[in-house]
This record gives sequence, structure tokens and C-alpha cells, in this order.
Amino acid sequence: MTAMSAALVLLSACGEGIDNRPFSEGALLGRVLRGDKTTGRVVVMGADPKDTDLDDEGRFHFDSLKAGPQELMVVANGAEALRVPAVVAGAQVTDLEDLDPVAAAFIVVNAANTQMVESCWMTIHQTDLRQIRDDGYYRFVAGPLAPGCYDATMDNQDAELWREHVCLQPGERRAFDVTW
Amino acid sequence: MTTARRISAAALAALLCAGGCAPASAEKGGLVRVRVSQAALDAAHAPRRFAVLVGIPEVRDPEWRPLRYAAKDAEDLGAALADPKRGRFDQVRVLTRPEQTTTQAVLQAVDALAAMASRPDDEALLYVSAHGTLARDDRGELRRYLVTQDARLKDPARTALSVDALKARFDALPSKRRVLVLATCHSGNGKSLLPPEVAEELAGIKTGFFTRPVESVSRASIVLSASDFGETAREDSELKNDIYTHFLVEGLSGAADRNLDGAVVATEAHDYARRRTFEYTQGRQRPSAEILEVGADPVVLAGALSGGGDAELFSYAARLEGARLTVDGIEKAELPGGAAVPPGRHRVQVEKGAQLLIAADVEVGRGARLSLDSLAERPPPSSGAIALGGGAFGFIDRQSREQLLPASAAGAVSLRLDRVLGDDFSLFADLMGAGGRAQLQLGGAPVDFGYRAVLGGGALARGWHLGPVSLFTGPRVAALWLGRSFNLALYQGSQEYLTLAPGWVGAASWRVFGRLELQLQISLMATYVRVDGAGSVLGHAGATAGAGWAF
Repeated sequence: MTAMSAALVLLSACGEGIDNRPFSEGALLGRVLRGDKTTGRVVVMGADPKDTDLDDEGRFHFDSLKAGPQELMVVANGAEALRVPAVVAGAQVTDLEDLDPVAAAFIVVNAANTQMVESCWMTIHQTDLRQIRDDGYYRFVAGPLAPGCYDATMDNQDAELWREHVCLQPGERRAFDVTW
Repeated sequence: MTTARRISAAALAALLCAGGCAPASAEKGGLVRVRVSQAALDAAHAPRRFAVLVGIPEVRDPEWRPLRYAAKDAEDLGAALADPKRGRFDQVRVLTRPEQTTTQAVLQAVDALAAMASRPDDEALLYVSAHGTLARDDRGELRRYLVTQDARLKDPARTALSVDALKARFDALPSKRRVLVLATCHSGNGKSLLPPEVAEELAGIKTGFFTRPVESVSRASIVLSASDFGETAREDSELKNDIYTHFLVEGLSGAADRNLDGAVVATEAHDYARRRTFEYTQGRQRPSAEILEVGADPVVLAGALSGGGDAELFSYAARLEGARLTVDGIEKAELPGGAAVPPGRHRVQVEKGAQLLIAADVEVGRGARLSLDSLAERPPPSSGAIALGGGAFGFIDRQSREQLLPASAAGAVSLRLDRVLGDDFSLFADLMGAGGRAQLQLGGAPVDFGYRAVLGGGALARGWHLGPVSLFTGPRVAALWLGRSFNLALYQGSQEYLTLAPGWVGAASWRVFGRLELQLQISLMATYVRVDGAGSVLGHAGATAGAGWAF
């Protein structure tokens, strides 16, 4: 097989070859109804989430996203959000047009053990919501979140202290009392 | 079947003999064992040979002019057939007297012949030398008639012997080895006289008669005719015979044994008489024959088959009439007729004018008889074929079809040159082209693009030819050119790539009729493709089907 491959290389190789790299990324844009430039943003969910802000008219734009199916968490303002799937086409601009958010949800973690709160943080996985700190009342609030399911964790420097798979309804405020 | 009949008949004969010859026994019934040699059994059941020869020199109706040699024709041929050194026929009846040559008497003679030649392997020969004529039957169709003793010129349809009726009797003979020789003609000349109204009608026809030759309705028989349809059979005062009959008798002396196997078979005798008649009359009389042999046994008219001798190639098909038979580049005969060739492999060609009708390589054994008609059924071997068709080609693996180029419908043109390396190897060249728009599937997202692809290849393939079907397989190398063009918001451009692809090809062709050929070709190749800067070997396959013209 090696000899055959070598022979083929010698015999062929005319032209630069097939290049699919230009199609590995594409652009994505849309407009969020009732979007607020200050509080609104759009997050491309994933292990390495990316986010972008909204402009005055609630528009958002990603110049370069990996081609293929993606899921967006759209935060329109402090009270409305939306999760929406999107397919990013390689070397193309995908326009999601107008997105209509619904009532946002929140995850609240009440810390029963106040002594170690300062060294802990909460993370909503697949989003950029990390390092959510105590609000001064031994309470961690993650949101506004779009309705849907999330993995939420509480960590300190040494270990994961708490984990919960949470599915939220529009407008829901889900609270957990956690002791660690 | 034959063996069983022979054994049972032999046993019966032995029992009768034993019953008649043995001394009286006290016991009644039971089987008596007798010894009969195999030679005696073979002799008792050897094929028998019977001939009835009818010569009608003069008839009652004076309107028919007498024939000088019709009786002599029958007698001369009868003598040759009965001669122990020539024909060796077991029984030869020559009918020339008036009471023996009426319509009824001739038909009775045929019936008697049927009664004698009662075994399938018996040989039966019926010869008639007489006037011939044409007349319309009750349905108004022009028929051929033999002028028998009681035939009247004014009413041949009712008084003469219908050739069709004679043929029907002849075809009903139990013998499967039978020959009918008609030394007559029906053209109104020579040994023919037509009723005035028929003669007037035929005079307006320039191209001969329009009725079917009697020979064409023959089955399981050999019908030899002293003249072709519409030509004149002649008596000759120098030969003192009907010309054809004279040379037929001459051929039985051994001169007609062209394959030197010791026997003069019916086709050999006819070919000899035909050729000599044609020469003697300087082309004015061209005897014809329609032959449908039953089984492998030829009808022996003189001598005995030695089991050896040369092989024979022959044809009496009307469509090959006038064609030249060439064997190994040497012209051997003009058809209809035949030629003897030594046993072995020969290149046989039959040409008519500039048209090559048959070209075949044949293997013939000693004493074999090969009908050229069977070769004509084979399509002439082609030097190659060119075909147009369609098909598809693409990468074998799904990922490459999704990300490089989808499998594409393609138009195809192919060229095949046969016998480029010996008889068995053919050279293939083909070109397939495809183009259109499609979508790549990259990471689950579609990417629209236009494409063009050209696959051109050549192969050297071994061929196997099974009648009209030929199969080929062999190594192949192809060039695959891919072109992709994109007109996207973030990328506009084109990509081209050319790669060589060695592989293997399998093909089949089917000569449907004439020079029309259907083709199917499948190729598998390995292609080296550079994708995103990295090279890899990918499988590629193509399949085409098309119709072509063999040349």
C-alpha cells in the first residue's frame, strides 16, 4: 500500500488540490426584538462559548463561527431571553432575522454555609456564565437565562462542591439551598 | 430407441428361427436362448437404401412435346445407384412405362417407397425427369406441376402431378435421410411447357416467377432441382441426357467426392452436377438446391463413408447465393455449394461483392460438415466498437462524496479496438463527463457549488467471446479532472485538480443485431487526492451503459 501510494504521488499531484478550509467557518447575524444594548448579548453555547453584544437596534453579528449546527442563547434584556438553534454555513452569512425572546429564567443558589462563600463560584456550563459570585447575601444568582436545560455547578479552588442539571421554564426562578 | 428396437427385433427373429428349426420339445412356452453374432445383428439392421426413379418421356396429350432422354435419365441414374461399385442401393425402381407414370401411379410409387424406407436411418431417393409446368390452382395461386402421363396441357391443375402434393408425400416418409431430385423446369423453355394463359402472364414478368420455390417448403429433406426457379432445364443431344442428370450420374462415380471420405453424399453430388452444368451451359442453367439435413448423417448416394476425409463447409441458403467462400485467404467456392478443407482451424470468410457476410475462425474435425449458415447466425467479428451512453462515477467512500464531489451522472463515449494483442485482447478508451450544481456537506452545513468532472481512461482487457456476448476485464489507468467553483458571500473562486487513477475494468458487450451493440462497463480505481493540503488515496468507481456501433 505504501509503495502504491508513493507511485500515485509520483504519477499525479497536478494542481493545488481540493481545499475545503474556506468552508470551515461562516458568519451569523440576526436581530433580537426588544434587545437592550446594555444588558443584551448573544452567546454561542458550547465548551468554548463565544458571545457578542447587541447594537442599538438589537442586532448582533458573529464574523467567524465554526460551520455546522450551533445553539445560541440570546439575552434580550434583563428579563427576556431565548435559546435558538442555528446552522452556520461555511463561507456564507447566515441570517437568523428577528428573534422574539420570552421571559427569562434564573437559577439561585442559597449558601447555607457562609464561611467559605468567598472562595466559591457558580458556573452555568455551555455558556459564558462563570465566576458568579455571592451577591452579599450568601446567595448566587445566575441569569437572565433562556428557558431550557443547563448543567450548573458550584466549585472552589479544590473541588466541585455542587452540581445540578436544571431545566427551566420561561420566567422561572429556581432556587437551591446548598450546604458544603 | 433404435438400439432397443434392434435388440427386440433380433430377439424376435431369433425366436422365430428357433421355433422353426429346433426339434420339438416336451415343454411348451418359455424362452429359448440362441446365439446371434453382433455382425449378423448389425447386418440385419444396417440402414437400407431405396430409390424410385421416374422418367416421363412422352405423355398422352400430344400438346406436350416429347422428351428424348427422360427415360434414359432415370435408367442411367438408376444404374449408377444400383451399381455395387457406386451407389450400392438395396433396391432401385425405374418407372418409365406409361402405366407407371400417371399421377396416381407416381404417388403410389412414393407410398411404396415410404413403406420400404420405414426406418429413420433408411435412405430414400426419389428422382423425376419430366416436363414441368405452372398453373393456377383452385384458389388462383400459381403452382408447380410435373407433367405425368395423364396430364393435359389445358388443365394441368387437375390432371398433372402437383409438386406440392408430391412434396407432402415425400415429407411424410418415415426416413429422415431422403433426397428428392427434380430434373424438370417450369419456365416455359426446355423441359417445360406452359398453358397459353400462364405463358402470357409470365411473359410480362421480367424478374422471374413470383411464386415460392417448392424447395422453400421442404422440411427434413434435400430437394435438388436441375434448374433454378425460372431457368431452363435442358436435354443435350451430345450428352444424351438431361444435362444436370448426366453430371449427377458422373459425380456418383466418385468425381464428386470432394472431401475424399469415400462417399458421395447428396450435397456433393449436387454441387458437382451444378458446377458442371453451369459450366457446360455457359451459365444458362443454374441448378439449385434447398437442403435441410436432419441429424448429422449426410445422405450417401454412392460409395461408403470411411469416417475420414476432409471437413466440408457448405451453404445452400438463398441469402448467400452468389457469395464467395474463402478459406485461409484462398477462394474455395461460390455459393450455394461447398468446399472441402483439411481438419484443423481455419479462417472462413464469405463475401458478396464488397460486403463481408461471414468472418469466423472455425475448428473442424476429420469428416465434419459445417453449415456456413450457422456461422452466419453469429455476428461478424468486429474490429471494435464505438458507443455513446451514460452512467455515473464518484468516490467510493461517503465522506469523499459529501466533502469533495458527489457521485455524478455522466455522459460517456467509449471506443474499443479488438484484437490489438492477439485475438483475445482489446484496447479500451473512454471519456466520461459530468457537470452541474450540488452541495457539499461540511460539518453538517451545506455548501452550494458548481462542478465539472472529466474521467478519461484506457484499458487493455482480455476478452471472452460467447456468441453475441463478449466479456472483458483488465487493468486500466484513468485521468480524473475535477473542477469546483464557488460563489459564496465569503468565498468566490474555483479549484481544479488533476490526478491519475490506476485501476481495473470489467466490461460486457452484446451484439443485439447487425452492428448494434449494447455495452456495460464498470471500473474501479485508486485516486490520489490532496485535500486541505494533505494527500490520501481514495477509491473511485464508474459505471456506464450505452449503445454502440461495431465496426
